[in-house]
Parts: sequence; structure tokens; C-alpha cells
Amino acid sequence: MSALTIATSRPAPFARDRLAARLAIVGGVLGAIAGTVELTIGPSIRPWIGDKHDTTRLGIVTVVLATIAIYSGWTLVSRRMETSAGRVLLVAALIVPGLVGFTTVGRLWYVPGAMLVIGGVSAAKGISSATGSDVATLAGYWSRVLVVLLGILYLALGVAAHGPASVDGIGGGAMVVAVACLIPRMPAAVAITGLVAAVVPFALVTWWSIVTPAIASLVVVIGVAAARRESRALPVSADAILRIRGDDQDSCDDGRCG
Amino acid sequence: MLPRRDLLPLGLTVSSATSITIPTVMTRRALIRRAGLGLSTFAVLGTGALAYRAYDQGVLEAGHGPAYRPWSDYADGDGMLPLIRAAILAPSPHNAQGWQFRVGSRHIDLHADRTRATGALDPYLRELHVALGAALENIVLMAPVRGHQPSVVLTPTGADGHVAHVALSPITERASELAAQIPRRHTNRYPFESGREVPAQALSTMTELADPAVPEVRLIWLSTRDARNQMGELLVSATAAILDDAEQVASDRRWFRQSWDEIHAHRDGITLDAAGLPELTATIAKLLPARSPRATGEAWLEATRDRHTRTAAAYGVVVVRDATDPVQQVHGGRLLQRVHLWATGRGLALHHMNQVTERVDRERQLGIRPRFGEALPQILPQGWQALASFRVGHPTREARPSPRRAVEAVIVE
Repeated sequence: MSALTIATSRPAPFARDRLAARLAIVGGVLGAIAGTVELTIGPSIRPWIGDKHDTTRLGIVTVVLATIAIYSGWTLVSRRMETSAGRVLLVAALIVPGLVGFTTVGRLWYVPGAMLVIGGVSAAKGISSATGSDVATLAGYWSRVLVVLLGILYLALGVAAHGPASVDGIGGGAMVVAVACLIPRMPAAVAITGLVAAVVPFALVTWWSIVTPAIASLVVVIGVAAARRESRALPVSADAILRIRGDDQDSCDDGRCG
Repeated sequence: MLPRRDLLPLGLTVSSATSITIPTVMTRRALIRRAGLGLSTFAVLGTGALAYRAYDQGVLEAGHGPAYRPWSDYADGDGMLPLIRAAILAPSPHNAQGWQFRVGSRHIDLHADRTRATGALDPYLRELHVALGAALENIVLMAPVRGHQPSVVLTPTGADGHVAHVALSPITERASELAAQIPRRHTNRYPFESGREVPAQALSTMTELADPAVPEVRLIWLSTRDARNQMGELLVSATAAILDDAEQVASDRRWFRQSWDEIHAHRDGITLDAAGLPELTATIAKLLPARSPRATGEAWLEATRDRHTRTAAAYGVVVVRDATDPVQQVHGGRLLQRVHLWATGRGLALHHMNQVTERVDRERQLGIRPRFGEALPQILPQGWQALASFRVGHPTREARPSPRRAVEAVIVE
């Protein structure tokens, strides 16, 4: 996150947060069970898992999605995510797995999926109204969230691919996620170079797939914007603020405060 | 205290050392940023949907997965199993795989699965028997490799669907050049190298693959420019005639597998991956909803006219004395498979093209004017009838495999 921080007073616990957390945890546990069932006896109950043929990989994906949801629920209940940006991430971590799971494990996801989506919507009500500064903060944060999502997509497609292309996809996706997380701590040029290096190999060897070049293009476009924004962001430390106040005080001493 | 907007460009005002007061009026810059975020989010969601569609349609998994595993595990198992695994890699009309096997300790019985006949495209089961001949040839070729001496008795004339009995006696294992090509053989529907001839010596060698003990089955070549043009025109006309025949179109559609889940559920039929389309075109076809039968038919006609016939170096025709005789049909299928395996071993591409004979049989079935029934004999030696035809040439791309049912699905008690 950028050096800009928004100070907030610790809000009183909301009943809807407790509800959202419970839905997330219970839904996540049920989802993990659904994923395990798909992983173990999926081929014997295909109508229940959406007639999926690749029950192993989809079962693993389902368990991972459920784990993300459980972690989000636990984070919500432990009240560790109290900035607006953090809350947006948390809501996304409930709603996205909640929706994606419907495509990985069929009917077995109906109940956990509904619980996660309802939990996500409930948690979303805790996001403070987006004022100008929230938008500024979220812009840098959310851009990186988008790049991380694209990196995960890239990684997932790498898992689906075969041979050397698979290595390119998995490695490239992981690198995109890593660079996106480290953007605030590295020069923009390094971040941009890292993103381009991460996405080019897989997109080149699977150019005909349309989807990998599309993801690669978005990673570069959004990643470049995020990196430039971070590099332009002005660090507002307490010292800097004190200096600003001092300047202002000096100005007043000069009688120019009005 | 005065705000320092020059130092805090986003409209933030510093009110204390530890907190920032949020202005209530959104700046123009924030508005633009918010719009950019919205667009980016929309683009990522759209790409996510596209990525899921690509995953669901197996765009990056072409030729892999359970439906394609028989091509890689064909040598697994003991006893008769590897012979059956080899048999199911044979070509068949519309990849319908109309075969069943009964397996004993020292024999294999080959049966026709007539529920998998291709209907109006093969009303007299000519192509079904040719495919069974190809499967039988794979058994015969693979048997010595696994230490069996095969002895074949053909019985395809009965009503019970029994086609052949293969008795197997133990011998010392020996390698076979043709058997080694079984898992590498695929029908190649891509364009061939334009203008590059297949050497006459190669054509001659393939002709000699005909079994001298079965003189009523031969292979002939249409390799001169005139002969190629004549056959090409017949193929294009026959394709158009099939597309004008609603029943034949319906029979064709029955075996078309559009989705990845369909491919793995049925493990048979015609797929986009094996259709010889350019990769980008194949991807677009997979990502979009299935095209209408008319559009699919037009694409097939265009491919036949502009790619398949235009780049054929030569046409091979397996000819027999009586194309309605099931025994000759099975023998013809065995020869066809030997030719295809030999061509594969020499780096040549082969594409089965039976539109003309499909129309000949259809005309006979409907009792209509034998347009193709009269035209086809004009380009064949007198006294011979066409059983199956194909184009041959130098490949521009390696052919992709077709799905295959598991060996367990074709062995019956």
C-alpha cells in the first residue's frame, strides 16, 4: 500500500460483520468439503459436480477457493482489515470465490456459494463511502489487486496448458503476483520490466489462444499505471507533515495567514 | 492552517500530524481515476470470463486429457490388451469407432457395433467394414510385436455383426516398422505443401503393400494433373451434394463434438482440433457458440475446395472387384491402414476423403440418378470399383489426434 495512510477510529463491531464472518467460515468449510468430495469421488458423481471431467484439478481449485473464503471470514471476525481498501479486498475474496466455485464443482457449490456471496455483500456494507481520498488510495491499491487477479488467471491457464508452455504460464503468473505485491517497494522501471518479462513468454507461445495475449496486455497496461502512480505518490510521513506545519507556522509569523 | 495543495496533489489537506482530513468535493483527477478503475475492473472481469471459457473449452489442452490417453498408453497391459489398444487407434468414418471385441486367452473376436454406423452417409456399412479392416490390421501388425502369431478368419457376412476371428499362437517377439507407426498415425486435414509431389517410388512402394493373396483388392493412384483435377472436382461436387441432402447432413452432425466436456463424455466423433483449421480460427470457433449446420457445411465445402483438393499431391483409391462385398471391404480396410502407416513412417500426410463413395451409396439407396455412380468409374481402371479414397502429400503441420473411447468400453463379454 502507498505511504498515504488514512487514520480511522476503531469502529464499533457491527452485527452484519459477525454475520458475514460466520457465513464466510461456514460457507468456506462446506466449500472445502465439496472440493474434497470432487477430488476423491468426483468421477462417480459427475452430475453433482457439473459433469466436469478434470475432477482432480477442479477439486484442488475448489479447496483453494474455499480456503481463501475461510481466511477472509477469519480476518473479518478478527477485525484486522479496517481500512476501506482492505475491506474491498476482503469483500472480493468472498464474492469472487463464491461465484467462481459455481463453475468448478457444480451443484455441490450451491449452498456454500450462496453463503459466500451473501457474506461478501454483507461485508461490503462496511466499506466507507468513497470520498476523494478513498478513491486516490483505492486507485493504487485496486490497480494492484487487478494485476494480482490477472496473475492468478495466468497461473491457472498455465496449469491447464501442457509442456513448456505450462512452465511459462505458471512461472509468469507467479511472477506477476509477486511484482504486483512489491510495486510500492521497487522503482517503476523495475516493476514494469518485471511484469513484461513475466507475461511475454506464455503469451508468445500461446498467441493463438487469444486469452493469454489479452491477459498479458492488461497486465502491462494496468501494471504500468499502478507502477507510475506509486512512483508519483508523495510519501506523507509524520516528519513531512510536521515540516509542512512548520512552514505554515512560519508563514503565519510573517503575517500572511490572514 | 493553510492547505498545501501543491504538495498534496490529490486534494488532501493536512490537519494534524497523524491524520488526514478527507475533502468532500471530488476533484476532476479523482473522477478520471475512478473512471479508469471502473474500466480496468470491467476489462479484467471480461478477460476473466474469456479465460474461463478458454479453460472450459480446453483451448490450451488440445490433444490432452482422458479422451486422448489411448494414444499414449497403447502399449500398456499384458496378454491381449495391447492388441485391443492398438486396434482402437485405427481410423473410422466420422471417428464413430464402430467396433467391439470379445477377448479369449488365445484369440480375439472382432464385431461390428452397428449402432455406431454413420447412417445416411454409409447406408450399406461400406465404411464401417473398412474401419473394422483397419482395426483388424492393427491387431495383426501388433501381435508379433507382443509375441503372438495371428491367424485371421473373416466372417463379415453374418447378421450377428461378427467380422473376424483372430487366433493367436505364441512366437518370439519381433519388431514391426508399421506397428511402430500406429500411435503416430493421424488423419491430416491441414493443407499440404502446395506443388510438392510425392516421389513416384513412394507411390509405387505403397501400391506394393497390397496383399498378393487377396488379388481382388488393389491400390491405384491419381497423380497426374488431369487425374487430380478430375478427382478434386468430383470431391467438391460430392461435398456440395451431401450438404444438399438433409439426412446426410443430420448423420454428419450427429458425430460433431463442439464442447470440451462433450469430447470427454463421448470420446468419439469429429472435433475442431482435428478439423485442420488454422490455430487462431480453431480457438475462435471454440470460444464462440456452435455454428449452425449451414455455416459448418459451408466451411467444410470451402476447406474441401480451397485447401484439401488444391494441395493434394495425389489421390489414392483402394479399389476392389465388388465394393458391396463385406469381405473385400474388410480386406480393403486392412490395405488402407497399411498404406497410412507406411506413409506416416515416411513423413507423408494422408487424409481420408470419401465424399464421392458416400454419394454413390446414397444414390443407390435412394434410387436416384447415379450422378457420381457414373462419374467415378470414368477415372478408375475398368473392372474395378472404388472402396475408399484419400489424398496424400507433404504435411504443412503435424496432425492432431482424435479422441478415443477407453479400451474397457469396447471389450464385451
